[in-house]
Amino acid sequence: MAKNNQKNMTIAARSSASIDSQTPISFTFDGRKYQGCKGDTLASALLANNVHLTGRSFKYHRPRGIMGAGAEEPNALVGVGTDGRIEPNLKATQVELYDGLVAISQNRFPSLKLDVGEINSVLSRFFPAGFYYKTFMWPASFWMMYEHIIRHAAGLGKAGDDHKDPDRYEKRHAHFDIVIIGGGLSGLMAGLQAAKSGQRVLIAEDQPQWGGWLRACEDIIIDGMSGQAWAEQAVSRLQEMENVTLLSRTTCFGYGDHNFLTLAERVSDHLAEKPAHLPRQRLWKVRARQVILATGAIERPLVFAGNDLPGVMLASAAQTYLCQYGVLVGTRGILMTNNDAAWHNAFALHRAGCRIKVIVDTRQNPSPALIKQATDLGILTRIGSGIIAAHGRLHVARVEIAPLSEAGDALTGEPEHFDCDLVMMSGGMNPVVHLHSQARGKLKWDERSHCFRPSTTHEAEQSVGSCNGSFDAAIGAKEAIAAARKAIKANSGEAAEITLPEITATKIKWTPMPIWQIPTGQPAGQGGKAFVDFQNDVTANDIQLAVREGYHSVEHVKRYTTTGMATDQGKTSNINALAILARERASDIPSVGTTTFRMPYTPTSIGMIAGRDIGGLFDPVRTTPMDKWHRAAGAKFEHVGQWMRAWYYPKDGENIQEAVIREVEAARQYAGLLDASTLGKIDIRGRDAAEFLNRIYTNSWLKLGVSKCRYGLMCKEDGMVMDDGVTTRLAEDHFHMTTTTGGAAGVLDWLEEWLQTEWPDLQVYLTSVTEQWAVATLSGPAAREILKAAGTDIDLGDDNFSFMSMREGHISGLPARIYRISFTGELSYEINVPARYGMALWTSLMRAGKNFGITPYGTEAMHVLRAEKGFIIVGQETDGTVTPYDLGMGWIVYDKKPDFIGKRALARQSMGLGDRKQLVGLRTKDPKQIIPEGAHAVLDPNQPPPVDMLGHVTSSYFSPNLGHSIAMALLRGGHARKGETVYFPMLDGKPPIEATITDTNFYDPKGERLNGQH
Amino acid sequence: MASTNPHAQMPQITALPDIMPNPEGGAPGLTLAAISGKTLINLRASDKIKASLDTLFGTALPTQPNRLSIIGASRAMWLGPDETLLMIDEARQAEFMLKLGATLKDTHYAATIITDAIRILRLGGARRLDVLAKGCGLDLHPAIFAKGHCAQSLLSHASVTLARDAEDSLLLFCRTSFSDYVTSWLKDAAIEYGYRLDTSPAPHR
Amino acid sequence: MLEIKCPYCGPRDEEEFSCGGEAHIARPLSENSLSDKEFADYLFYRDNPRGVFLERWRHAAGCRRWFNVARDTLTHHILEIYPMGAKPVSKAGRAAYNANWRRDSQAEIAAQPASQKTNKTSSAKR
Repeated sequence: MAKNNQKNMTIAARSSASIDSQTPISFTFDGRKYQGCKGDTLASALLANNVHLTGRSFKYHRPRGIMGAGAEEPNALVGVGTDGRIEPNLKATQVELYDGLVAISQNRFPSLKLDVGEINSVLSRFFPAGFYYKTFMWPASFWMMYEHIIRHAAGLGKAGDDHKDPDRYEKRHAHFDIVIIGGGLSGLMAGLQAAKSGQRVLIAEDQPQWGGWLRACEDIIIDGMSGQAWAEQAVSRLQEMENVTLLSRTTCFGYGDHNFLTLAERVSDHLAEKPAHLPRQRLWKVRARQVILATGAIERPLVFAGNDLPGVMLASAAQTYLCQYGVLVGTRGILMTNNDAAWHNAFALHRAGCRIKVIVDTRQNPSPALIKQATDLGILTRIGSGIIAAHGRLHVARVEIAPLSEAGDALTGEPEHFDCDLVMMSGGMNPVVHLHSQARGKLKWDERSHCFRPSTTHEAEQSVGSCNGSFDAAIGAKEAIAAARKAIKANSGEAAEITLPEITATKIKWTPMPIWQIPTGQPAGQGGKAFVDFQNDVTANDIQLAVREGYHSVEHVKRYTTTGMATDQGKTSNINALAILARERASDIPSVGTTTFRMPYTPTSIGMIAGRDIGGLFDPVRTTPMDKWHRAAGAKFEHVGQWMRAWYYPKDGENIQEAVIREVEAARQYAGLLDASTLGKIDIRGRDAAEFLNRIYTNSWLKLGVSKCRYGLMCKEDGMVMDDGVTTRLAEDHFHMTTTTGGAAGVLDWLEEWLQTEWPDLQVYLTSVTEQWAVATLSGPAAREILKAAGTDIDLGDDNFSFMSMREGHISGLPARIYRISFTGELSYEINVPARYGMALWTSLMRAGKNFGITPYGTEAMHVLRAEKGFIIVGQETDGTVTPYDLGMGWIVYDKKPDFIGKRALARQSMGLGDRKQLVGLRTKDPKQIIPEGAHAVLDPNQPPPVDMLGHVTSSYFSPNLGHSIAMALLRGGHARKGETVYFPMLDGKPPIEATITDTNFYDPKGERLNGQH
Repeated sequence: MASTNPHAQMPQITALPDIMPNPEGGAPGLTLAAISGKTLINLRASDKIKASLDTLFGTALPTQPNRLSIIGASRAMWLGPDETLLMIDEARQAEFMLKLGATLKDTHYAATIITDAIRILRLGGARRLDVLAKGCGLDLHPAIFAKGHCAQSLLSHASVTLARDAEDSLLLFCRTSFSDYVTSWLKDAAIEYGYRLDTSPAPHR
Repeated sequence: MLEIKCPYCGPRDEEEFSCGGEAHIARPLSENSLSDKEFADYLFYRDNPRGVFLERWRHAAGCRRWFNVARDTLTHHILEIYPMGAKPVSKAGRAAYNANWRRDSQAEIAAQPASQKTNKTSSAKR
């Protein structure tokens, strides 16, 4: 078959149960249009079009082709999609073809066939193992530049445009009695057993179709049916059962603690037209009582010079392309194997029309029956031999075959040359133990099959079939049933009777030869590159070099050479690398051990992990009952925790400074109205409520009168301020506590913790009432008049309703609790109404205050107003290292009490030292200058580095009421420094800002405005 | 300026319509209806003390974790070993609270009205559990989360209480400040199946 | 993600819980003669064993109750869950409790009411 005719020939001749050759579909690869069939993967369709060259390798930019047929593919990584939908680094072997699919190759410039990076390959003497570590180590200050170079050179594909992914992604929690990963023979058998026994069962299969290798296996007969027919029948039986969930196109990529599995379902990736309501992918978060792993096995490549050329392929993959996709991947093939199984792959291809010229077996004594079968088919055999080199530029064209010593470590004769366009290779099988290993199951080395198999398990988990090293179909099926029965029993279920199907298949003696590198007959480092890890471009020489340089631990060699890293996770490379490492260390594989397999088993999209936590649903947005009013008034908002609070209300094109100045002035001259609904509120009840508060707050609470309010500071047990707020005694055994907006949930948890764990004897119940009450704070000289205008049955006179007390009654006919407390220093009322009336209260106050100049103000003006009074904000003036004394609030610590949280810690010797950072006020020399928050204070602006820093500014504003800027700062020994001058060096090169240390109470220090009389 | 994030803007909660047809035809997979006209009382009392309320409530209050008592239009949800959420008709509130106070006089308890703090939604539709499973780790299988069960858990990032008081629907309780988030989340999660939000006026806004 | 069996609500995902760190740290009574250093054993020092660790958890998104957990930090296996105020009953849990250096610390002795105080005066073992 001439090569240029092959394209048409293969398409016309394609037939298999998995593809529909009647439904041609078109796609593009690197801009060129091709045709494939429904059921193809991108890889099978490319191969059907005789396209083997699919990418350039990571480091050396060597031409690479399709090597595998599934998740193990290390070479054929492509980008799929356009615009925001581009997904890089997909394995072409896993991309299902759809009409109009656009794929591009990666890591090549300017084109796949002509790549300038290929020079790396010529320069490879200078690009050895640990290249990055060696080259980019010194001097450290160059790292920034190196990082740029590395980042450019590294990374294979390019992601789509930022923030433009148009697809939907879903997540789903699920619970099952038994989860089975893998829908091949063993998985389906275990599934049938579990399902018939009434268990809640999930079976997940990575591929679009069920059956695993049954679909690529010519000769298996199960209960008189072909393997594929049996699988289809089993699946249709399972589909009818209500207790069974079947997920195809679903990869279990993570196995976490306590049988928590994460699975990626590709819902619409394979559809040309993606329905808008369907997610692209769905993340399954599954809790399983029992897990059965039936994840199969991956064929191992052989390590020989030129083993990475396009046209060099795993033997099982060649058979899969033939049987499953109807694609003959070559015309003149050579097989190199160390085991019996691959002979049958070669026979299958030969019978289908690919002339197998030679079967090369590294063993001295393969089965005579196989040799006879080959001879009968006209295939040459070279026993006890190996391919010592493959040659070709963009495709394999020629191999050298030479006889090997019995151990396979030396050449014993001259090489022969054979032309070819396909090299099939088989180095034995690697059970897919990734999930078992992620679940912290242990592995043991199987001396007969030369592979790692699961040994002890850590979770409720069993491995069956090929992934357990049981490569024989009948044994695997038996194992699967036994495992399912064990799992059912562990779940206290009853196992239904199920008959083992009759399975006939070619008997294969599974005795591969341990041969990890085919000798070249030349010194190490010469004779061509023999790849161990194709994806990370790690050669056998790299591993040898690493050992020579002193890297002996398998974990060190992995990181130094990068073998088995990235998306490959050692699928094809692991054992060959370990074996070469063992050889170089004159050790054996079990002693060398294996690296840890980590999740994800295959790459997963970030979009799926984010799910619906994006855009407006990224994080809950909490709104107050008056939220709509603020929005209608054009307020700007700020996040305070999850709350959205009105920040300021710009009028007529005001900027933030102008708006805040207007709001701050209005609150002092007339009246301001603040939505304070977000304050945390806790209802505290019980005989011991006062005693409880007395232990929680630093000040005294036992004698607080009913209807009286008191401000309190809470410390943590280390004596540092954690929250503050006003608490009111509603009745002898009943208090209403307020907390900071951000601290509400934390304070409630904190109080509950003390009640439940330390003082269970106290009779106190707590209930969060944060959202029960809407709060409008009316503040300013006109506040009382506005309340009167709004209509109230409460006597607002100072005699009846004094500062720091609470009255219940009505405002504008709404039931209200009014707290006369002040965070502005003005006459101020915090009016609480049931939340449903919040909006009515607000609009009524705005109406009543119209003639008094009422002005709504936001959180920014609130900050300025309180700073004018020197009131702290927990979290702004404090950061978890600040005591009440540091704040100059020693007056609130009543240390005569027998106990309060933080009391003993505040008495520590270190708390009394004079050099603690203490809160002070600052006045700038230039009254218009505002020190940036966070700026650091120094005594001498001209001091050469290292500069002695005194502390930093916590709050800083321009105060329109005072006509100058004000700031607060935490400065070392600040309380003793009042009157001193400090400087704040600026980052932008401007001269340092000069300021004098003052008290923090800038405005109305005598508090005369609290009564509104001035 | 305050140290808070200056980039904060208006909430960008996904603006989805109140009705999304089922893409596969037929009834919407999820129906959401706000429940109003109820009083919610958060009751803190030991099992022993709260047992004295059984007559007033009409049936025994739940003492088993994650169980729900149903009597007429009233519901009582177990929230904790000494915490129960009572839902009664608003018309009964005044009398109920009066009698409750009289019955529990001189005992250690707290009965706090939190009607305005909590939003109640009734979730119906054939796919209601599939929608919830997108954001809730509870095992909602009908045989396990059966009628008469309730549970506090997370729906995505919001704390919720679910109460299965009927065969074909369930109640969802969330804090009012989270109700925009929860409603938007449920709508967005139900796009796959279609939904209908009953737009009767919400009582608290 | 761990699955933690809340003593009230049954098995729930870890994300519903918050961990409160080491359990069985008794709070010294306020009338005590602890030095700052001895008090620091209570205030600051926490154990971080490789193996069985007794720790406090709270069912934050559920019933809000605190409880104790004996968890193997190496395997993440949960050996035992027991109420606040109780001590572990499993063999490994008891061993972890008794092996903790804190049992001999002055801070712990100062946490016991006078009637229960032992005569131990040895300084804290590390």
